[in-house]
Amino acid sequence: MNEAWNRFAQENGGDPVIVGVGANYLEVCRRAAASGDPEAPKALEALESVLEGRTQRALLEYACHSPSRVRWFAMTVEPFKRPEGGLVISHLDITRRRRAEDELEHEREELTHALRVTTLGELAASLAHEINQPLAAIVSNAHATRRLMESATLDRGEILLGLHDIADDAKRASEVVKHLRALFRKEHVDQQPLDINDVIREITRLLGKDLERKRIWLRLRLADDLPRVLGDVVQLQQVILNVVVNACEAMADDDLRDVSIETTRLDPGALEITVEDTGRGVEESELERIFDRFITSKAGGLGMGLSIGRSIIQAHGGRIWATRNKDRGLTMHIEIPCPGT
Amino acid sequence: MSRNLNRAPTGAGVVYVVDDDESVRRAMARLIRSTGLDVETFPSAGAFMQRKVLDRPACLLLDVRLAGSSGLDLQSDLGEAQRGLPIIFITGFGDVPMSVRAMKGGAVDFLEKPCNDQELLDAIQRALARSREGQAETAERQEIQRRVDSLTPREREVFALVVTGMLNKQIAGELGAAEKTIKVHRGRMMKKMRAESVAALVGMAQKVGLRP
Repeated sequence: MNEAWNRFAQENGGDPVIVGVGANYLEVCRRAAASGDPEAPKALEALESVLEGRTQRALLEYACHSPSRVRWFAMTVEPFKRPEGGLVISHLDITRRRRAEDELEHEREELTHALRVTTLGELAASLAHEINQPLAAIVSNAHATRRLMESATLDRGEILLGLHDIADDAKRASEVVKHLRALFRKEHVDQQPLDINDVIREITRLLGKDLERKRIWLRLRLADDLPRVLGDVVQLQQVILNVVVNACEAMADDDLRDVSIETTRLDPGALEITVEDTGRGVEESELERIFDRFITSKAGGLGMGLSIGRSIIQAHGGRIWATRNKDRGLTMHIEIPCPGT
Repeated sequence: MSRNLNRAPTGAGVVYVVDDDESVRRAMARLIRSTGLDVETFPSAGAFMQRKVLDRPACLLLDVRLAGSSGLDLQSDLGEAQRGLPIIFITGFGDVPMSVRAMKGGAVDFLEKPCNDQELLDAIQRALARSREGQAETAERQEIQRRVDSLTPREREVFALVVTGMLNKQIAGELGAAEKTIKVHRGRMMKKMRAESVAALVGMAQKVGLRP
């Protein structure tokens, strides 16, 4: 036991008799395990496995947060090579390394979030505003003309102006929708040859920790003979990300949480991506409607992700559709042509 | 300005509509006019700030998502001037933190766009009622202040001591003057203040923050 250990034990309120020189570390761990320390059983198992010769070396990383500080340690357990037996246990403070890892993870989360909200999400919000403005004007004008017609003076001129404005505003709302469609037409697609498997791997890397936390098991079955797709990597990534996030959110309250992403080569010259979940799914009659509605079952969602997603896939000459799984959940299919393959 | 303390500013209310969207402004104006209220519209918060607010009941219908200055900035810019000008916030996306800030800043209502006409008109009526109250209070405060300003330094000293509940004899002792002199000052002061009783005078002192 060195100076650092003693200092550490004291800072943590450890009784020198219990954790100091001459104390039985096995006993210390047993006592900690009995008192409900979640890390102690793991440490105990490491100690016993080396002591009983089941393994030559055990390594364990554990959190040991004192009231004032967050700390992480790596514990190494090796046999003490003397006739009387025993163990050599060393603890290494790895707080700095863990903190760096946590920061990296945090950055990843922010990036995932930023990707989600600044592209499809932001677009959806600004479109919602663009459409909402003329709708608000239409509603006010309709109420105003109704009031004017009910009033004794019956100001015909004002009523006609109101009706005229209603027609104009309705036209304007429909222009916004037309503009939205134009946004994803072919001429706006950046044509780059890309490996769709790479796009999917990038998405799963981004979502990795998030899925782990939600206890969602993600399976990848990526075909290795995929032809390259000509398309816009950002747009395709957005669509697939949106579909995967939807799949994960559909399972939020369920106990079985599996998402599998599969890529398949289709002949001639096309590929298919399927995203299968074990979530609550949708009714047969709703399968088509999920692509064109602006409302959503999700709290706070705009529900425009899939309708924009379909426009993007169509701009790539492909199609996107949904099927119900036999047992439970939904499978989204994306088919994209790969010209010249 | 009326010299009578208890009369509120008269006249029908006016609604100021600030929205960056021309069709929304036109439609809102038409709807509000159809109820017999006066309306004025402004394309930006800046344009509204240039407007000299009239001395009549008024409220502001403000789109939170404004080009240039955000609706909440305008609310804080108005500050004290806002007393007589309640704000109804209109938003296309009623998010909670923004609503809370607006409410704390003194917004009377927070309506989502497009809003139900009855809801909007009710909100306008509430805002105008509050504006009337606010303007009546302001007018009353200004009138009391004018009366206070008309007092001589000696009368002001007497005023400050009368509202603490002192008798003439005590005031005379405090100011080092004869009781008879104080009585004269007190009589003039009560007359200038148009206070019929000490209680009425204390009420006035409180309204202009002169009560110790």
